[in-house]
Amino acid sequence: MRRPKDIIKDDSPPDARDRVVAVPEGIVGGDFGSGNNVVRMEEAGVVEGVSLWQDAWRRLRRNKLAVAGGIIVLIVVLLALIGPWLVYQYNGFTYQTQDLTIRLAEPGRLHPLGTDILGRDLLARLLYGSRISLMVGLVATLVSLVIGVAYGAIAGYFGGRVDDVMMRIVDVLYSLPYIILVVILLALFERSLFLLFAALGAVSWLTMARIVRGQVMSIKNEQFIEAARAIGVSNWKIIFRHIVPNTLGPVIVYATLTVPSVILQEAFLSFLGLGVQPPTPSWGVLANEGTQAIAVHPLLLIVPGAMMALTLFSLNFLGDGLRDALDPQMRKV
Amino acid sequence: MKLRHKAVLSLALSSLIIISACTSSGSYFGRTTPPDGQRLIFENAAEPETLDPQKSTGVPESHVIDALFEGLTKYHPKTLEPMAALATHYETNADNTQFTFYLRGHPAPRGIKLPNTDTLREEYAAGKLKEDFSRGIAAPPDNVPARWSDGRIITAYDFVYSWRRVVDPATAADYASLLYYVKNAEEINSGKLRFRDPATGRFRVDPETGEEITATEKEIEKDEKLSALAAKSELVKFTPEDLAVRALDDFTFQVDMRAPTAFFVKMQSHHIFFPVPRQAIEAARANGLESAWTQPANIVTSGAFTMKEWRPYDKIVLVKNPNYYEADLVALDEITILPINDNTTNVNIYKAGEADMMQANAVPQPFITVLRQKADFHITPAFTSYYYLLNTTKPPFDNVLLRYALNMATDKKAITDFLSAGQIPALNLVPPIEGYETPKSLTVNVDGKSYDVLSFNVDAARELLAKAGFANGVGRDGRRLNVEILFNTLEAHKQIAEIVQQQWRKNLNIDVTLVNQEWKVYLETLDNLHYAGAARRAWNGDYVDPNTFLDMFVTGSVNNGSGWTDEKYDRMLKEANATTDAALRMKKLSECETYLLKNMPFVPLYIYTWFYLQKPYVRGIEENILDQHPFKYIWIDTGWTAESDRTQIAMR
Amino acid sequence: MARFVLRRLIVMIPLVLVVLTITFFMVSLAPGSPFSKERKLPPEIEANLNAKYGFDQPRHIQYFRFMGRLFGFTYNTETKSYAWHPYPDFGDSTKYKDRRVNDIIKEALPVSAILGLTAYLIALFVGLTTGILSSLKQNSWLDYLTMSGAMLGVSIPNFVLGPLLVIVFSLTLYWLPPARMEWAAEWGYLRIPTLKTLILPALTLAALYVAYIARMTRSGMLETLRQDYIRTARAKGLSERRVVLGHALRGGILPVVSFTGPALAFLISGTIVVETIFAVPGLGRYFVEAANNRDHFLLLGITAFVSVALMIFNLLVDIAYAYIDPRIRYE
Repeated sequence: MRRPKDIIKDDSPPDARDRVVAVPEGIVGGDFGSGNNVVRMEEAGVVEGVSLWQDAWRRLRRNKLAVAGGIIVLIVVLLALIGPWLVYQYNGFTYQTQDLTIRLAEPGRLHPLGTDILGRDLLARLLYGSRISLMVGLVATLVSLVIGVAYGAIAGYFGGRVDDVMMRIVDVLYSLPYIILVVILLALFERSLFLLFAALGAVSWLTMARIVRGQVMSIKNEQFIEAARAIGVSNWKIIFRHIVPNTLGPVIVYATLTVPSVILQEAFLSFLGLGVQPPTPSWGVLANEGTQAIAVHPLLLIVPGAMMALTLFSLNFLGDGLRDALDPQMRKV
Repeated sequence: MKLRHKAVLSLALSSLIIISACTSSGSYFGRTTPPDGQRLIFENAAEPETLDPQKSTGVPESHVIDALFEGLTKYHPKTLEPMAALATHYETNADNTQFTFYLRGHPAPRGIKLPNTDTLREEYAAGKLKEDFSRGIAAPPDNVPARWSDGRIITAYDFVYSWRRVVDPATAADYASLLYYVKNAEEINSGKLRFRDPATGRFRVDPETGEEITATEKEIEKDEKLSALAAKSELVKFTPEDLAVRALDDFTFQVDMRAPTAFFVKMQSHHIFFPVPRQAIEAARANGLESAWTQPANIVTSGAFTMKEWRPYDKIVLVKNPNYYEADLVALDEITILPINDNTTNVNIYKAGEADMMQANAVPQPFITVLRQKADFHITPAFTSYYYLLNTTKPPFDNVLLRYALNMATDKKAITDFLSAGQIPALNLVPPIEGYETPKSLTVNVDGKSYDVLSFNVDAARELLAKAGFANGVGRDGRRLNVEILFNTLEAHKQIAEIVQQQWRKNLNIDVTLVNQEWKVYLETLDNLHYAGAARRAWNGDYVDPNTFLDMFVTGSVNNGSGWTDEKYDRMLKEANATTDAALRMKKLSECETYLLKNMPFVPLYIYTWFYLQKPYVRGIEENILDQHPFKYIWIDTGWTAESDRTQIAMR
Repeated sequence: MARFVLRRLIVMIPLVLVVLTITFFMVSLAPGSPFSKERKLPPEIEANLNAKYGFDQPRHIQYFRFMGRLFGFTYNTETKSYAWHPYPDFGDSTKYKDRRVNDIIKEALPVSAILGLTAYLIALFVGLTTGILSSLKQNSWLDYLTMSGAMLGVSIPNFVLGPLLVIVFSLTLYWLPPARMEWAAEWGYLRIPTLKTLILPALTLAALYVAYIARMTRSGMLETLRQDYIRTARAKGLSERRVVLGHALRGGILPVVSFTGPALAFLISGTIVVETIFAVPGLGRYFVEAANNRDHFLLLGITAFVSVALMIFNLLVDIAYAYIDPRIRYE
């Protein structure tokens, strides 16, 4: 998957410029305003406006791991939607049906994953718990993506005073004690799913913003950007058409890492009274319950842990595939 | 490939865990080897908030404080009755309004002699105790004064200083209200003013009741009559010196009560009444920070131990106090107290053999069934009740029939079976204690039909629910009844709430919502009665007397939580507490509880037990309902081995 | 650069004040009192406590007094006068009544800092190594194995990993103590734990960060390895080692550097879960407890510390940017 057009590429490599002095700039194609930059610019935006997504989709489909990851994620989503109903049809247990006579049962025919400490079907709880956990993971990660990327890109691109003010705001938000923030949110508003997302989203974008800002600062002085500026492309277009696509690598990796942390954080918010209310399960809640019984009935911990790991593996391969597919440098292979 | 890898890994992990849970299948849990000297490691469930006996409130603190300080009396290791500590004798007047205590060092003490170490030996000889707590050592003579750890003699003036310090508003002692039984204590502590008549120089009294008129500044501002009275009087603020306590001489301490208080001597083993070292407190204050007097460099103690080291969240090291009046009896040279918040960590440290005993009820719930097979796991009844308050101010819970229905629809045995540490399903509020007969059934007549409202009876519960206006769970407006269960976030509370939720749903066909709240928010919700249905509550008796439970529900009590008040109940309880005959008083208290249950402002769920691990070589401990284990009697059987233990068991 | 650093340091002071002001009002508006307990206090006793800690005053006076203390002016309620010391005084803890906030931070901070720093160094070392290796051997079994390990690291929360490590190393093999720290050396407030007692908590804490760093290094490296200048460098005959460590890593490590600022700030100010599981006397537990107990001044004191740490680490990150990537300049 090597690119044939490396020769005419114009990334300004830090080391190439500073250290590998033996290579004359002209050969790499660094002439300011040269045709290369224009070609590059068109690639990034104007010409490929239509083909960008089709192109990406085509390449994503060719990545077997990514496809497998995608399929597993779909299965998990599907199970979250109909799984609880299927279990109910099978053994008559919902996520809250208790049978105190069969507490901590080992897996068997009636209960494929056994029961929890209150004699509830673990499979039913696991599948029902997928709903909230997937939703939380998705929404909070989206918030982190949208706000974090835009915020970081703007700060990094404009630099100077704008960057200073925006990043100091991030520093302040980072420093506020989160528990008190959540408690106040709960005192001011009714407990709701939206509030949960707001509380999770409120912090999940901060590190993302810092990462994107760092990346943007590193590429904003590249010649193709300067060229775009020179021919009068608007700042916003430069940021979102030219710069952001070039930061997608770390963004997607960090986003896939955000998913598990948000899913676990939901359990913590349940603790503060914000997340799901018992007896409704979520993966984080199940993992917490499982930890209590770790030395007695480890399955209670292993099941939600394995489910989460499986989903994350799949999401991760999907994420890698997406990254490769959307990577502007890998286009036109 | 990665998936298989993961599956293999988790399988390996799970088998490892199961193995490790089973390898310790001996009769004891984990490593069991005694230390080579008289050193004890105790796991406390939290880092002490303070070691000032007068500011402390919690159980973890009391374990440390009781080793460091003593009061007029101390707990009997088994019955918890008051025993001689700094006082050896006491006298009371006919109506229990004045108490005189004779301290160690008094040449001729009078009145009732408090039991002492010699009594423990006699009780052992009579078969009332498992072990001879005196270990053959005679009690010290009563006329030898007790000393602080710095050598100074402990006198009645120390008590006067200390009790004044408790009620001084500037100290802001959390439990100052325990002293409110003493005359003027409440007035001093709440900063009240007295009205002096400039003409006579006397304080004004209410002409109707004959009691003195007192009020806070705020009350005077609000009340027109009072402000009018204030205008023509000289206002004098109560000061700590007004507290009705006095030192008749160095070794005689006298207290005047506000009202007859039969159980006052029983309360003296509580650390709020302990004397504090004036010399250390004033020295610390002179150095600029009074609260630093409890630091190891500054502290002066009156108990069996003194403090060598205090590293917050790491450990506290106590060493034997050579100036203790009964120092001969103290076996332990050193006690290390570890603050361990996490229950699993608590058990792990014990299992690794790095601790010898622990505070009760700090074992994770799922472990209990496994641990019950171990010889070093102990379960004993506790003086603690767990119940669901019902908000009687919020319709439809103001209807007592509905409250009966909720109680009768609760299968409490299912809960205690689940908890599995020997907890008792509760029919009532006050845990069983000697001499007090708890109500076991209560027949109430509703529309000509009798119901035992303390029993678990689903059919009757449904009938009563229908009579309360919710036939088959549906109200007259066609809406299904919804009951909230409020609890603070903790795994155990959550699980109990989940069980009760299912029971009420199934048995009464109603909706039940669980509401968990963060600790401080939960307290506020409870306090403001902002819950619609039930709220979980546990109450641990301060002293061994039913009154510590029953007086929660008198008008004006801040610990009620249900919104239920009743003048008749107030009168009944007041009358019972004024009764001097102990047996008659208990009977009257039992009647009070029956009346309370008849109004059912709560659903009693279960009576706690204490459960904990304790190495078999730790000796000198009796089980009791307050989980008190005075370190002064504890000793380590350093020669203990598993073999010697087996032969001992065989010999028994 | 010097001017840039100086400016950022100066700006830090008003920023910390902003953080503390917001936190002050947040905690004083949050429902719940620092003195509420299972056993409720009678109102007159609660009033005494409020007076003792100055909560009886109107909010703006409380705020004014708190700000005064930050600048060393402590108000004495008994003498009704101010005394000055040359350091900020965060006041008294409402929960830990025998101790002042300053003392609590002084005792607990070094412990957390050493634990956090150790954990991050482990994470950095393991994360960078595995990240680089798997990027060089992309799509090999090594790559899959390490990245699977990394994903496992993210999906096994530390409240699970900690107990697991304890079960294996302490309760089955009896190699390491199950909890608590012992001290190898002490200089005043600075306590150095023994390796034996440091290792499990540090590993538990590091696991999550290993995963983050490995994943981000790998993706950053993959991207830079494709760049022309790497090719040029290789073509020039530089050793593979120099190409990878000298050139590619510098280009690919930027996201890890960005992530390090906040991560390190939070790590050294303590983490509740690991401190609780391993009974470590660090700052993290105090922070969460202070929030849960509405322990106003303790919370404010630790918040002040966290925000200073965060701003300094983010400043260091910004400085590091300029050294790692010459394209980044600050005007």
